[in-house]
Amino acid sequence: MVNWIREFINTLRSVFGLSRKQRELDIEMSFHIEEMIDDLMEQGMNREEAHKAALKEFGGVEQIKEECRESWGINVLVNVVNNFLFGLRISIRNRSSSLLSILVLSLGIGISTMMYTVFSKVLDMSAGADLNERHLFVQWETGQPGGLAINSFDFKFIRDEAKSFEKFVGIQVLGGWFHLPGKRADRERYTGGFVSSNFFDLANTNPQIGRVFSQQGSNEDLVREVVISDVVWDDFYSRDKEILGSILMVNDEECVVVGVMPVGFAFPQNLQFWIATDWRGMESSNRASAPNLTAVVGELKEGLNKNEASSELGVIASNLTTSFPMVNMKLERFRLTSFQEKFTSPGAIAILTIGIGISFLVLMLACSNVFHIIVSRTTARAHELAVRCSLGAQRRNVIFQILIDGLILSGLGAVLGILLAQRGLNYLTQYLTYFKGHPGLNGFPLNFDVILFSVGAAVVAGVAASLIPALRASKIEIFGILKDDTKSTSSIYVGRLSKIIVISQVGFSSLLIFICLVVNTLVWGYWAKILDFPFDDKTVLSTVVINESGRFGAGENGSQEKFYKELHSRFSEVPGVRAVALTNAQLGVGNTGESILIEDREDVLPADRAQVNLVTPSLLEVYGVNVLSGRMINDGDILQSANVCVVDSDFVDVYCKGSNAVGMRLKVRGAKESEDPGWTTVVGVIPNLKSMMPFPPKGNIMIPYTRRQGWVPTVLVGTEGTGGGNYRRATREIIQAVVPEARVFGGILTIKERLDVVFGVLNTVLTVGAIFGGAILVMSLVGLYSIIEFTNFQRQKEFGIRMAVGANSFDIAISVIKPWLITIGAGLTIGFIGAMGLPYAINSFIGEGVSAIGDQITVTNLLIKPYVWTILLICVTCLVGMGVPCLRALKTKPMEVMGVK
Amino acid sequence: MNLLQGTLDMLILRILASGERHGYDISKRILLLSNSSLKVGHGSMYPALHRLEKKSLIKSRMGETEKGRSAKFYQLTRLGLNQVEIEKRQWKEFVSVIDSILERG
Repeated sequence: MVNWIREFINTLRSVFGLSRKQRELDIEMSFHIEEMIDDLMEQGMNREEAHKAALKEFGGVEQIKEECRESWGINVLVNVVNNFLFGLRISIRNRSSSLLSILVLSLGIGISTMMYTVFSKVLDMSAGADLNERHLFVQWETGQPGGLAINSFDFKFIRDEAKSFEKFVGIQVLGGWFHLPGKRADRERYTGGFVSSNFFDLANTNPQIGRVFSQQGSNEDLVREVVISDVVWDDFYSRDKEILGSILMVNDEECVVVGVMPVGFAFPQNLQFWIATDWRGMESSNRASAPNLTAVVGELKEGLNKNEASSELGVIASNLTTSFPMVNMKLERFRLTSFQEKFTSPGAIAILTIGIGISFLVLMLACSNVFHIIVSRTTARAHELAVRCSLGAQRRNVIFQILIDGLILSGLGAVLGILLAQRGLNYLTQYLTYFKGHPGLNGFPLNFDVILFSVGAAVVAGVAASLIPALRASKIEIFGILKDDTKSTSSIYVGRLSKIIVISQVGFSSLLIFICLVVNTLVWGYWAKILDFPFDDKTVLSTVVINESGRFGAGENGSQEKFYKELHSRFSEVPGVRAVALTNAQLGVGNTGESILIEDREDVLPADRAQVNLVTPSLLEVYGVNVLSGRMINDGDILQSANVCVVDSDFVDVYCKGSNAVGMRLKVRGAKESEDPGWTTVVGVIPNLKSMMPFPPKGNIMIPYTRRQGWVPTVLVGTEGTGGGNYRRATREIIQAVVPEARVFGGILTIKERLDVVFGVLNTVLTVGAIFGGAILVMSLVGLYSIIEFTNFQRQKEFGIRMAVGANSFDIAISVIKPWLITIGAGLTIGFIGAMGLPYAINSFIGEGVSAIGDQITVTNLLIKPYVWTILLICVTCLVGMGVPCLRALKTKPMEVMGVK
Repeated sequence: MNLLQGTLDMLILRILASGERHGYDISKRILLLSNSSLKVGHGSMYPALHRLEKKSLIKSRMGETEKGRSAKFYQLTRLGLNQVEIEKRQWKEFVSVIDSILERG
């Protein structure tokens, strides 16, 4: 051991003193030869003769020096450095093929790095927390793939009663507007959570500065404690170290900052701040109105298993259902899911598999392109390699040199690829700012894992692309090549393998292009359907009205009525305004879903949800549409506080299937007015006014706006002409006149303008898809061109002879293209077969979500166009890839290639 | 006569035990002490010297000879001195064993 350490230290000394040792070695050899010359001269030779004799006797000076260098133990390193420098010189000398390889590899590595970053970020739900199999997520079991959230009352009941768990943590995700006291105008929005005060015990992660919640942290009689993420510390506070103990306003409520979590911590699912709470302030005596917690996580006691915990929780569930039959109707047991199970749902696995699959395909496509380029370069160096081998270079030296060549190209490709990936991710983050604050979409930083992935991808690419050419090059026919026999260089050409690689290239490209086109088609197909409004979206203005308390009309009964009546009166005097309405649907086009029950319908489960919108009777007038059957909610319903509602055509499609919805009775679980919300009677059916939610609940229910209190109103103004500047100004003035302390949120925009933002994101997705597709086509083109060009180079003499004996251009062109038609055809077939399997994967993954909009998209119909376009694009690419080498082959000069002067 | 494999290192260490020398001097000394029977090939001596230096059995320095030429001089380290004794003892044991086999047939 000691000897080994001693030798290692000496090796290191040799590394750092290499040039000195080389100099000393030269001096040593020269000295020895000079001494030999002196001795020989003493024997009577003249200097010249003595010099020759001394050299002859000494032997190969360079060989001896080489053996001495080997004994230093740094030969490998020296070889690597020399080969690296040599490889760089080769790359500089062959600029065009080097640039092409680097470009292709950078595209491949950049795209796969981007995909890896995005998918791993979105699917990384642990986000810095230290969870294990003892941590279980608890939900109500509903029999559906997604369980039902537990409300804060039930959470506390479980926490107090369950003995099989060490602790429980509740998490309620919310969006928060941050501002410093007195600086409300400079607000920023983040996504965070109300959490139990023991939340950070579960996460098992310490803050980078400050502390986590104290035991009093959730005492809502004191100022709330908030812990922020590193992202917020950087973005909002510019990493000010004096923030601990400072006051922060979150949604206009005072909080005190007690700690900052370390970089990367965002548990669960990319939260940026955590406020300790016990939810007392959000609860009322009405159990049904208790806030639903996004997640409840329990930590099993040591030695207990999931089944034992499940039994105990089953008893607790029964107790809750017995005690609160209306709120906990049909909720009989809990579902326990481990962390891994929860975030490896079939959907997540599908996304991950598709993402990794695409990354792998792109990388392999890049590797196959570079493979052909390296084969061409290696063939061009055949003479040089033959000379090296004849001078004694060993097989491993040749292999090593060519591998280094490939690794240099892939290394440079990786550097460029990482830069491209970083730039691409920055653009993606910018364009996703529309969803800023949405869990999972706060940015995609390149972290160590990602860099490691890119480096790994580069090594794989470099080795994969150059190993086989290297192995073939190490077994070249030395004598044949030195005789300048072109045919002998075919010993480097890998024949069948090249064809297989071309087949794979075409197959991969076809599949990737197909995926691109499918995504684009689905996006447009899906969104085009759900955004096909039955009204003119340019004639409806919407804005949310918020007063200083954050909720409109809080604490004062009937304030929405007063507000609506004033608005109605004032807007009626504005020329061109059709009507004004109030609703709680955000910005007029969407709301969260609530569980429903339908009388005499056992098949309707608590997990079935519909959007429940509070509306004024003037809603249909604003949109300029008519009721489809029955009647709309009217002023009489408002006066009598009638328990009536109208439903839309989507609701009818899902729940009524052929029967008349008018007269149906239903219950909405989220109603606040009492423990028993009572049955609501459907009095009419209206057209579906559409929703912006990606996978919306099934249908809409409209109830009179006076049925609930304390909601934030959206003002909808229907105009005769397009909602131009005058109408916006009038809307702002009237709102300010009626409620001076209120402010509008989200601007006063038409529905179309709001959707343009969404379309902007969609267009970005489509643009990215198009760029991705274009990159794939470029890579295919490069790969095909390089192999066909190389093969033509091999066949130059053949073309020359054919032309000399009378073959015309057409014959030559056919002889170039024909051998590749079958190969390309095989590649297209494989790609097509792979593409055929894709719809099944799509259907199984998104079928549930697609059917949720009540209008099943037939996957087969949507995919005909992508199939056709894929074949067309690949065919055009292959034609260009074959065509250019073909044209060059036609310019062959027979006399030149046959060596006739 | 050719050197037996593995004996060159031992001879070099023994030569250097008598003082600092350069490579040419070492090869001449071996020739002299062996009555011109053993001629060390230059292709093996210098690699052996560098190998011994890597093992820290000898160390080197650049210096000048009497003729004013730059040369590399080698000398034993303490470790090398110990190794000489070990090598001597091992060689004697080896020779004794071989002798006994040769005697008894």
